[in-house]
Amino acid sequence: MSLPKRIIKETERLIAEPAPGISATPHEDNLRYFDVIIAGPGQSPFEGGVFKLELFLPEDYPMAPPKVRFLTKIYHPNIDKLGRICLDILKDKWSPALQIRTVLLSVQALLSAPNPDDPLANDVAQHWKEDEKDAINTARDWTRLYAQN
Amino acid sequence: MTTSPEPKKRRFFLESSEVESTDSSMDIESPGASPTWEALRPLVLPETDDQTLADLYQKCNDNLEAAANLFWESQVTEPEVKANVIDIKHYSSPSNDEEATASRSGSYVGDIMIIGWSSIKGKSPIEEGDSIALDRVRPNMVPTKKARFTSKNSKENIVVRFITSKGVEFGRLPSDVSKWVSKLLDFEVCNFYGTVISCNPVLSTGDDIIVQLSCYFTPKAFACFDASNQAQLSMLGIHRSSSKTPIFDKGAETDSERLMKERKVAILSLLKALGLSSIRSSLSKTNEILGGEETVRELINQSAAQDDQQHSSGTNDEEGESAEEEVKEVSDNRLDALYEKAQMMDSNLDEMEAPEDIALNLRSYQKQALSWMMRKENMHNSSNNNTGSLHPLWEEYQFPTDPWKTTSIVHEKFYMNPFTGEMSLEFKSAESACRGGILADEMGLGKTIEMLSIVHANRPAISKESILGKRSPPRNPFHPSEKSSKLPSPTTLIVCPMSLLGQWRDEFLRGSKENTLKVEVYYGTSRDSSLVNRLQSWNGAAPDVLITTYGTVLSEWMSDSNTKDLQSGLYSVDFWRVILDEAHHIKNRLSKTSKACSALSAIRRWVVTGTPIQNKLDDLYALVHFLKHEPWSNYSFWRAFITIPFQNKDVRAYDVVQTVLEPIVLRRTKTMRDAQGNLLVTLPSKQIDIEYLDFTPEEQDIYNSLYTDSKTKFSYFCAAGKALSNYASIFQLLMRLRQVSCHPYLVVKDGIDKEVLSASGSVSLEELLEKFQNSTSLDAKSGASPGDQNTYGINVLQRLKSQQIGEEEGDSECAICFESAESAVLMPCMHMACRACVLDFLQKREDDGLPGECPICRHGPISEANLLEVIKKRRKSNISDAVEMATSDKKKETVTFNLRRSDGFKTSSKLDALLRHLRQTLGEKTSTGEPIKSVVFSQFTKFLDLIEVTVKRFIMRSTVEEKILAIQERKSVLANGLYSGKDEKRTLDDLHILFGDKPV
Repeated sequence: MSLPKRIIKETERLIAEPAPGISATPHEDNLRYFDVIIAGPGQSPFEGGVFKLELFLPEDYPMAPPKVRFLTKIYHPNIDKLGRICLDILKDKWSPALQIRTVLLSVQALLSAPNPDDPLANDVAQHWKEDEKDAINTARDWTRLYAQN
Repeated sequence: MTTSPEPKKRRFFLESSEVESTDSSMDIESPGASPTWEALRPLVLPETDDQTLADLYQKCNDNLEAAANLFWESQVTEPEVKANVIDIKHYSSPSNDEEATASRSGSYVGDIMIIGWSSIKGKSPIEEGDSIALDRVRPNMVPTKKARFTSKNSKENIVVRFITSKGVEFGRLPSDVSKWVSKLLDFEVCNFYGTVISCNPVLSTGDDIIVQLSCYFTPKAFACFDASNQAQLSMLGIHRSSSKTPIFDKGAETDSERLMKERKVAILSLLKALGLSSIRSSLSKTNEILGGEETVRELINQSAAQDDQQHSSGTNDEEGESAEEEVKEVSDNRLDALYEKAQMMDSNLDEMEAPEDIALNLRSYQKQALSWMMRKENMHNSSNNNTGSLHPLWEEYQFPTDPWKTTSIVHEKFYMNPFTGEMSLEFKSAESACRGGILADEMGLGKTIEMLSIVHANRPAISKESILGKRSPPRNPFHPSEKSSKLPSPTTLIVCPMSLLGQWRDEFLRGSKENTLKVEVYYGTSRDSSLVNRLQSWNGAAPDVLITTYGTVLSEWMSDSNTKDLQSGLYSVDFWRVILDEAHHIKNRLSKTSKACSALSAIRRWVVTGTPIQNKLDDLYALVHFLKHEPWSNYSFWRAFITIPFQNKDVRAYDVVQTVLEPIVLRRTKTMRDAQGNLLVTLPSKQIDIEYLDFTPEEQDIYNSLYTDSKTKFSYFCAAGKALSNYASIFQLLMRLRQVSCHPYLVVKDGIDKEVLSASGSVSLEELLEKFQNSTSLDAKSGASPGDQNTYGINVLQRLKSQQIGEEEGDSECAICFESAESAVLMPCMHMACRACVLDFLQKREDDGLPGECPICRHGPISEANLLEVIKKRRKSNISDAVEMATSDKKKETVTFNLRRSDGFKTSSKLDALLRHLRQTLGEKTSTGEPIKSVVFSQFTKFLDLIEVTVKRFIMRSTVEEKILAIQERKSVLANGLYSGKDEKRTLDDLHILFGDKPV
């Protein structure tokens, strides 16, 4: 299966001019599979953390959205235990005009601005709503615990 | 010669009507004081004095008949007959006498005796010797409106009445005579001046009246009879109602041809009655073919008689028509046999070396063709001034001496063409046979190249001609009115269908060494008014070859024929040579195109066609007529010898056609062998690959519904028992099924592809920009920040525009596939992306049950129909870009953007398969290193249009495809596969699409 030109170009550009705080590297044996590292944004409970994600471009990409999942455990109302992310552009709001870079930037932005009203991890969201301060502390703990090696 | 016909005539009168004449004259004369010999007076020359008559009468023992004979016998030895009239009444008054004779006009051709019958009762208003006139009540004067309706099928009015000099009607001509006399009067061919020879003093209806008619040809008789003249037609009372017949039966005659025939038959009858026979005729040549002069005449008369029958039988004919029509078709075997004779000598033709200026190597059979054509063109060059021999169709007659000397004799002889009825006072010299012929090689043998070789080989010697001054172009005996003022031109005119225009030009340029041939195209806007002047110049300014279309010739002819003289444009020139390509275009001799082409003036006339006879022998006539191949280019001649016998299933027609074809046709087929027994053309074996395709589910649905629909209709026809009478609709049903297999658009969306293909779908960039700017302030309805959006739109458009005028480099990248957007679309929000990407996305949205939207800004909903296509065309800078060129002279190319409404164009399984094949061969080369050429065929032009769009959209990137398109455009009309280059095999799939691949 040859790789569409779009994926090659995107990969080249990601490597050539990476977005700040984000790195994405394709696997050598599968160029559709990316190892992604996102630095926790400043002024967020995830600051200082380095989060690993995996990103996979499905067969019908860019018509279908890429599949993105956190590998690093993270305490976030929109990210569940398995690392799945609740983000509209990864689902029904996907548009082929979006790219890996924009997706990852969105994920980064999601870390800065958790949205407990549209939760994926219900318990975390609950926690966030009831006691945001405590929730943020837990998130910091988790970041220190899991995302700082 | 002087009087020989006359005594004969008189004697004929006396012998045949001896009883009446003697009786009546005795009866009249006895009551009067005149002596009995006075009865002799009307029978002899009027100036004969009484004593002579008395002597004669006595000498013959009071036998009136013997006396008259004796008188005329003596007259033979006394030729000095004085001009006078047989008119006892006026005999005594010389002044009246002169008046009577002076009123006679025309050229005297003789007297005839006619026994008419009286139409009145009572005392005769005339006496013997009275001069009378013939009165013809023209058909259009008689009928009232009501009568015209009822008399449609009634017999033609041929009544000719006798009237006295005072205008009183007293009798009529018998119908067998009035049949042709009426025509002569109607056509104003002949004037008749009658003299009563014998008449009862008291008449009862039906009584015989013996009349001598002196016949004088009017000047009109020798003029060119123009049957198409409307005024003349209406004068003759011809109602245009009968003009509908030729549509169904092209073998039938047109109105004008019928008139010509009537005129001809009438003149022939007159000459027969007068006993005039030709003193010279060259019919012997044709008689050799058909045996005996009588046969020729018989055939003409037969054909006339048969036509009359057809006319009278009227409507009853129509049932038999279809059967007859079948017979008229020529079977293939027959056709082959027809060409056989013409082909017999072909393999023995000499070869002639190709002229130096040709850049191609001619094959040996092409060299043969060249030598044959050279021979045809240079025929009769030396014997051009043989004024002695008479034209094969014309007969020479001598005017008899006019006994009354009423008209000054200017001409001693006159000439008549028994096939057209044309008469002339001028000598008709034998026209040298047509210079040219029919080049009817089978398709693919290189007719164009052969024509090119003759153009090169037989070129006008320009310098020589200009020294010699103007060459007088040969006159055409059939168009005596044709003005010979046309100026000779050294140009070869080629008339071809529009689709082949470019091919002829390219072939000619490709086949000639550089700068040896000047080829110009005369078509549409490239028509150059100064061209006509250049055409006539012999100093090299005229193009060697001028290529034009049938349409152009037709339009020039139409505009010219309004002014009645063909003197402008192409018709002002006498061409060096004219070539009709695909000449079956003119096969219908009644079509205007056919007439227009025949009216072209040229010394050498060639016809190029693979199928000189398509279905009927008459197809050939138009070609022969164009070639002016005497005598066959005359329709009545053709009709008499070919059409009529053929309709009568007379095998002789084929023999005749063979004879016609033999000298003028060169036809070789691919299966023919040369002198060494090799095939003329060796083609690699043809390979036919049939590829079976499956419908996509959607196509299957459409097909199924159409199939069910068709089935229902067919069952309905069957049930109603109307299957046979509706076979056309059933064919249509089948055709629709075949079309839907090609592409559903062909039957389903009638409107849509029209929009795809028409230019009306295009939108001007400037217009759109303007619209956007205007709406910026107004637009508040649409979603988020309309102002921004419009600003963006304006930016996009301005960027396009600036690219268009060359200020900005670089293509915009599609946001979806990241490639430069070759076939981009603009969404209503002015975001641009690849057409394919956008459509994919919209399709996906639709599959998910979501409304379409812009993939970039999510502005929606949008559908395919909202898309604007940006069609980018690279083109060389032209004048309009000159300003920009000055500022950025580095740039050689500019880009234009056309915006076109998108349409949701979809391909079909067949189109996909076609594209696959075309892509496969793309870039491949043959063993000789030439790129592969592919030719696509389809029965449906609409489908070809779709193919064109598809090819353009999906693979048009390099010049290879552009070539495909160009070829496709030119050749698509010729679905019979003109393309047969040197080394290709063919694949034919069930689409009727041919892919030409070249094997290694």
